[in-house]
Amino acid sequence: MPRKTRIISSMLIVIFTLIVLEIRLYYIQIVSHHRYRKMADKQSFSVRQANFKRGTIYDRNGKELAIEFEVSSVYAIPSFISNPEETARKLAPLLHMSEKAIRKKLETSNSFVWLRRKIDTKIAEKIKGLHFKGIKFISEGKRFYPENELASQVIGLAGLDNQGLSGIENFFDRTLRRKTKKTIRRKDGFGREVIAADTAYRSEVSGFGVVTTIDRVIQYIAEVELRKAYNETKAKLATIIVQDSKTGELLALANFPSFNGNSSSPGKYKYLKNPAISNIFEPGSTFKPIVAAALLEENLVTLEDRFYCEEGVYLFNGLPIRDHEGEDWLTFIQVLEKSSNIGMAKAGQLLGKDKLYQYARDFGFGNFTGIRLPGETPGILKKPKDWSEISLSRLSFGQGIGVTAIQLISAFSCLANGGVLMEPMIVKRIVEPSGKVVKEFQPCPVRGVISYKTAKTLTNILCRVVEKGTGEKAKIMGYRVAGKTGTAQKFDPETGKYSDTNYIASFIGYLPAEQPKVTILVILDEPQGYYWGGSIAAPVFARVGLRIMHHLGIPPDSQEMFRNLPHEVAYIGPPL
Amino acid sequence: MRIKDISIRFDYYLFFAMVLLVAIGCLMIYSAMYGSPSKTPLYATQGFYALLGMVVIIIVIGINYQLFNQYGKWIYLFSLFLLVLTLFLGKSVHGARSWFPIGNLTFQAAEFAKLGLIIILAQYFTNYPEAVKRISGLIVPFLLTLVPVALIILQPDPGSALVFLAIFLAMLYLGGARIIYLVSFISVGILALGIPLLLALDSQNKTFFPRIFSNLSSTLGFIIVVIAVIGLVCYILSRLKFRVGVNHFLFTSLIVSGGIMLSYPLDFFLKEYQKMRLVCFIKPSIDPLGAGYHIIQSQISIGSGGFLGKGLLTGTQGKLGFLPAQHTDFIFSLFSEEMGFLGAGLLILLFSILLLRAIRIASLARNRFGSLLAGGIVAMFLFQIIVNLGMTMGIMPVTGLPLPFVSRGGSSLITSMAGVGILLSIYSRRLTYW
Repeated sequence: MPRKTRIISSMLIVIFTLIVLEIRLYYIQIVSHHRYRKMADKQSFSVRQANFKRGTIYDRNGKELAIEFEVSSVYAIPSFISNPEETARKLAPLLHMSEKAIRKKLETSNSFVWLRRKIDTKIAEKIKGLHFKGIKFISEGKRFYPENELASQVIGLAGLDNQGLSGIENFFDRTLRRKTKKTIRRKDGFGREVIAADTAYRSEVSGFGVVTTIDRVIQYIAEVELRKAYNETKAKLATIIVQDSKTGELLALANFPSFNGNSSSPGKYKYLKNPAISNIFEPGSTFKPIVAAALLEENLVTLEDRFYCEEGVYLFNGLPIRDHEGEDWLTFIQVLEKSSNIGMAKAGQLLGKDKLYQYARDFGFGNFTGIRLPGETPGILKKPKDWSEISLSRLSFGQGIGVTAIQLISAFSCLANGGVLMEPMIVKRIVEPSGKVVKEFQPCPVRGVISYKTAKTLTNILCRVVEKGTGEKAKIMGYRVAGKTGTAQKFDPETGKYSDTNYIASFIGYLPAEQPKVTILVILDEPQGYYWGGSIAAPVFARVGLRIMHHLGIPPDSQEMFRNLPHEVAYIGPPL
Repeated sequence: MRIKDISIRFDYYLFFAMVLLVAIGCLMIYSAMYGSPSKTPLYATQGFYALLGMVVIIIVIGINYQLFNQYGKWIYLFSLFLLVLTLFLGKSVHGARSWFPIGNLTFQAAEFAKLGLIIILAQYFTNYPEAVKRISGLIVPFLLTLVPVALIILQPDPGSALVFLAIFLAMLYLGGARIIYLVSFISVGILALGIPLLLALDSQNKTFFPRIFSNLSSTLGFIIVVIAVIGLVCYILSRLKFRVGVNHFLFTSLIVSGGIMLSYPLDFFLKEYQKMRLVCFIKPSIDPLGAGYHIIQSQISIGSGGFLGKGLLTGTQGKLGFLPAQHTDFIFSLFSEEMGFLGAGLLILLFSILLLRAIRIASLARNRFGSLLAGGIVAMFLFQIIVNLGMTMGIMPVTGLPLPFVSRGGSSLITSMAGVGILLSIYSRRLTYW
């Protein structure tokens, strides 16, 4: 028999060790519970942002302007790659990358490295066929713009990581992306995802689609003519905007040069900015109808009032105002027809500072139009108290004010629309992938600026401008056109004076004059050679306008117009 | 003996603690394998083994344990025979040739050999009660232990081999050996195991000790230096009128040099992963995804369970596969995760009941043989429980020892239940010669 002490001591040993174990258990499970709980959650949960497929951007008729399709991205886990040299050699031709570049990536100490993002699925299949250990693929969405350059600055660009960089892609980024749904996923001990009921897969859900107001055909017409004008005039920048006169919807917004969203060259990033809403310029003569509208609305002038035009040079407060053709007495209509700066300066005096400022504001100048595109600028319109002696006279013919193209066309659409200013619209509605409408944007009247009667009177004056004034080259066979030319000297910030060589030639008008459908703005920035809006911008307007009329199927309103047509505007439609 | 007598002299506490543990084991195996398809569910086979174990208990209770004293030699030799046979015919699982096939089933001879060793040691210490007092008398029991240990290390399964050494030490203690011998054995063990560990910890041999032990000649030189130092110390102590003689000097030197020399074969037999486990026990951060992974994951499972646990079948660490070997070595971690501190604490309590009742049996046993037999069985259980639970809670290195009664494994379960059967047999015969 062992001695009693040894039995008792072994009992004590047992009790002691088991108490130690209990204490340890208590320490782990009760004292350190939260720490271990956190560790457990950390390794078994992974918060993943489930990216929806980016929504499609449509034109107003449902044609796709931006779509997304699945491509593969290749990445490597360098530690799994046993033979970087061989791997690099085999991958180089498939990935269109240099062997050296691939090897450098494969030999990093990182646990993950992108080899190439968004490659063609066929190439990915080929690489998969090589069965490299450690070369893996992720399916990603790639943005594709089926129409290439078409309306690229309106649609904008989505970056590599599915983020909108410019245009609608940027402004409606969250709509297109939809809210990125954070899903909490369970991982098992092998890093595999455990499928839970709430797991969303990217292929199943897509972001909302955006239906723009752009008409693909009109946009195309505008861009073709724009490119032609750009090449002919060698302008620095050219813009055409086509707006629905009634609703304010933008049917086309084209700038040149622009970019191709599908191009892989980084050069495209230079042109992400949309000059039509981000660039400001002095409108020059195209601002005159705005002033005239104010004068007529206030009954300060009648159409028959005469103004002495000083034979071409008028010293006002010591500074000369010049007309390009010297005239003596002109009626108010003729002032506009011949686009006399002196006549307008004198008429403007009748209006006064505050009235002119008020009307300019009412027409939307110096303020955001509220267009749903990123990067809009309000332009420059100083308050009357900041005006100098000559500001009123200058402003009367469009100097001393900075406007954007979108402001100008909206103001003219206001004239076309019987005096009601509409908010320029670029997006018609937001739709679900199934086509169900999520949100409809209604045309939005901003305010009534002038009376219907004044608007009609002004339309008649603007028709005269086209019929026998400076805008003769804007005539369109079969349609009455109301419009105004603009030739603005560019202000040269270096010399502090208006330049003698740099001009902005523009033409803005709407048609058919009786029941305006579209307002069209043509701007040629710094054209070489001829710089008169009436001689280079007006013909572009005419060509674009005619083709739009045909596209929209608007019947010609007057047979009289067939006579005395400028030979540039040849009828190319079906027989009338 | 009549049935009635057995029922009166039956240790219900011990028995029902065991039954509960086995039931928990089956339940947790069910939980561990929940959701994974398998032809015959593991919990069912475990249940089958449990029933088989019950049959074994009934048979063993019926047998007078004194018979083991008579036939102990043959049982021991048979167990050695099985171990040898395993070495040649065994099935290799996880790098160890430990499983001896019987038809479709496999059998771990090492488990059976544990009982064999307990019986033969009990027999030896009973028959030669005075032998334990002398150091020469310990040579035979040491050799009796060393043979199965060597055979098991050859498999190689050093974890199980440690159980044999623990049994040996415990029975030496209960047999009445002098404490100094036990200390010596433990010192030798620490030296023999410590040196390979040191080498593994510093595999570049940068620090002093690993550089010494990295080749044989410098090791021998080191031993000579150490012996000289011991001799010097002994000499000084004797001159200072301490009663230190030549035998003390020789004894100490023998232990030190023996321990160091023994480290060589051990270093050779320990596989790299086993050394890493020991190293990772000291520094888990050395290999958080390899050997340290088990330690960390096990503690996360236990710790995240909290007081009430995550509920049966709803644990995350186990169900999501973070917890390794959750139906065998780390079954306690799974249990703690799902049943919380309440359940796990209760499990440890059940073990305490079982062990304390078993020690009580050892003290109540009619004769020295029964007492030693019970003591050896307690040692077997206790060591495995401490090592396994300690391992899951990060206070013991990962050795791959199963938790008795709970972990999956027929051989372990039946051996443990047979141990309980022997205990019950000793208990029921504490008052009779039968």
